[in-house]
Amino acid sequence: MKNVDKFRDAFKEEARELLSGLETSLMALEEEPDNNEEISRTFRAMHTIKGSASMFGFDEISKFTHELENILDRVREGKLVLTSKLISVLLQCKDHILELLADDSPDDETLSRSKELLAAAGDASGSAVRVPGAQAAVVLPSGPAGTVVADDDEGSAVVEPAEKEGDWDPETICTYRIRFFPKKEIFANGTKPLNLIEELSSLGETTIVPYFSDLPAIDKLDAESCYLRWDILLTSSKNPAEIHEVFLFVQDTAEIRIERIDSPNDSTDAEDPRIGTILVNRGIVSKEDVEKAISKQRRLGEVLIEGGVSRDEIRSALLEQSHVKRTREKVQGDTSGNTIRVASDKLDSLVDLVGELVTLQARLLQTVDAVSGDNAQLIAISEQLERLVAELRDSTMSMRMLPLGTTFSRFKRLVRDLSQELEKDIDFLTLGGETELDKTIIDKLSEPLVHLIRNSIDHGIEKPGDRQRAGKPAQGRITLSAEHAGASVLISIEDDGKGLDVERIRAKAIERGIISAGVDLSRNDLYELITSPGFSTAEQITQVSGRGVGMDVVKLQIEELGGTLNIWSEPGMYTKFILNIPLTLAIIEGLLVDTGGERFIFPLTLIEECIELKNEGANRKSSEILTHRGELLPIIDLRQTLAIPGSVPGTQQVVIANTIHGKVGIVVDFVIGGHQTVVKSLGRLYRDAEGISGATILGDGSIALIVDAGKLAKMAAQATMAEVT
Amino acid sequence: MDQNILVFNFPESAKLENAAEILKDLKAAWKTKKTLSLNLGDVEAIDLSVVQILLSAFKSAALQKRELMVLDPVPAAVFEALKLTGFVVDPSGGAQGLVDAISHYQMEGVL
Repeated sequence: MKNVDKFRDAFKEEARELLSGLETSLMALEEEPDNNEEISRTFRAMHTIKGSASMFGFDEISKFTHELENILDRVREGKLVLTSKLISVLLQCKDHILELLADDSPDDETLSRSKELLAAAGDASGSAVRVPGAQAAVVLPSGPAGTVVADDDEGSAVVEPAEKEGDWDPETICTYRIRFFPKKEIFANGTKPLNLIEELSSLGETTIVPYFSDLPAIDKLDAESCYLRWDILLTSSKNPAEIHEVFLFVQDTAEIRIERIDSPNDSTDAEDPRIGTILVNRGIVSKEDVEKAISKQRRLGEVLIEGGVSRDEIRSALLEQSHVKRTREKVQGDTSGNTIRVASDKLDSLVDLVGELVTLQARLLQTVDAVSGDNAQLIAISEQLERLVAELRDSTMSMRMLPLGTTFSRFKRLVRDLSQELEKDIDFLTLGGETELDKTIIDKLSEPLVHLIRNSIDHGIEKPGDRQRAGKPAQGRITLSAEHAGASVLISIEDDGKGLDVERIRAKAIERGIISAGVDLSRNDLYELITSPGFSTAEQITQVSGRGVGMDVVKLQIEELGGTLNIWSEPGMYTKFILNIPLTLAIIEGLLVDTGGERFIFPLTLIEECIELKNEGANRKSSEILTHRGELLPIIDLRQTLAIPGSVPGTQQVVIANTIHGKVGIVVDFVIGGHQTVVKSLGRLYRDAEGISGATILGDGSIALIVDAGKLAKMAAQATMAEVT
Repeated sequence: MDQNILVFNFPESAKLENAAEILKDLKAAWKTKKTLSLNLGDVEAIDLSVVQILLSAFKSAALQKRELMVLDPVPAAVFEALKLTGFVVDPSGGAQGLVDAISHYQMEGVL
């Protein structure tokens, strides 16, 4: 990948983040249109995207965002009010910029969409927005344009107009020093110097350095003479000819000198320019003058001013130094910052390697136990390695953790757009956005969460009139919350809508053949029927929540993440979907146990304690109830549940796990101890194995199955309930 | 209003077409020796010719050690023109921000 491609990719990533923030701000402004902080934030986001897009050669984005920036500028100035209509258009524009980011060569349709959206934005803002390309054509005089012709001794390249244009790599980013010294009479032919500077600013990032020294006192001032002059520092992907075009009509009324002074992406090892060097490059002083000034051991600028160099020149050189430094940092990425960007596939690869290392370390530990005898040194090395691998594992896993809030903000937009479409008034509340989850899980959670929220909007929340007739506030509420619970994160989506209709669910389930007519199910079991394959019907699937994905698929997607989906509802009051999602899918701390010679792993975070269980000859049922610490504890026998052959030892152990379905005691033959577990998928063939959620490879190369304690707790509770009834 | 303060109003369109007239009026006001208070509140459009008049007024005030004031509000169009001129000033500071920024340039010795 070429260097510039990396910068362009970095720009795209930064732009996506800015757009995400922009969306959040726009939606906050919909609720609080006068929030100046949010208004400034939206403007800054658009301004940054525009400037960077121009710098990296994304011309269409630059043009598009320039118009939007103008609108937001007027909002910032208080000249425009952010109406809901304008916010809607701006949100569509944000989506369009995302599309433009994804498409390096936008086709005619995309370009036409840009025009449509800008026209809509103009309409919504109550004024015509200039649509790029729609203005009257201007025929430029033909002839060669300016380009870089030679590098001088000091590293600057002088751009002479009317020289033949050479090959120019459009991905090259350069910093130019543009000297724009208008003649006094420039106003006479109608030239507006500030318009030229504005046009130049639209080409990239600029620092405008005015020279005020010729400006007379008021009694000597002639209103129709121009006294100001400028050095303009421009960092842009535009070629010199394009820059020169800006000054095409003022060549006779201004001194124009364009010099290339830096290539930010090629200056990774270069020192930041010194003031003395800049002044020498500009021809203001000689190298000898600078050396002489430095030898006086005073501030260089002061000495040179005393020697006759103008303050304007010194100031301009200082601002050039700062501009070059800033643009280098921006283009190269801020290496002095505390964060770096790493592609997620590199992190995935690191996690895989750490997984292999964990397995190998377990094997080493086992081998050392078997062969080292009393070799204390070998044991110490093995233990030290174990600690290091555990630390490496934790560090690696923490790198993949992201706050869920990054996903939450997307849903705000979803709720906003859908509620408007369905004419419902919905307040969307998010809690616990700072809760972190493995990036892989967050990515996979997005689709089921979208579906559940769509369901809440479409089927849960009633229309305002219906709500008022039911004695509720006209505005409904959907709450999306997340919180840590041991090694899991609980995510809930709750709406204060009409709740689930158990009778309709029962009737539909019977009609679909999912249950028999005579079966008596608890309310919660009936709720769970909506996640059965085939429960979704054409009648239910609306354009909004249907999308061809039923609740069974949602449940499956959650289970594929090792999670569970629970549904709670109260007719007329609420529906709540609770997702219990593991923090990570990759490596967990486990408790290794043995039953009938087979090894199993329990996720350690679920385990409360292990107790002994004496068998007194009689065959125990696969599930029963034990009194423990004054509480009734359902227990389930792993051997019987999984049909493991072999004789039952006289003394077994009960692993007590605390799960979302309550506490459960799981009877195993004996506990071996803690084990770092690299979680491997069971594959499609064993996906439906009840009570098993995955597998891992042990140090000796054998396989241990990972127990789904939550599922076993549910089975135990159901068995107990059946026995009681 | 203090009798020693003269408010000088800039017109809605502060551009080259009116620059000569604005300058003539300002020179006349300057001669009164009263403290001038510049009111830019009505300005909807301003170009470089009038920006120069504004900056020149401050330059003259500094040279003659006269007090020159700016009234709030200062419209965004004025700040935008100053920004394009290369004059670094934060619009949120209003009139005081503008006066402070000009003072800063004067202390640097460039205005």
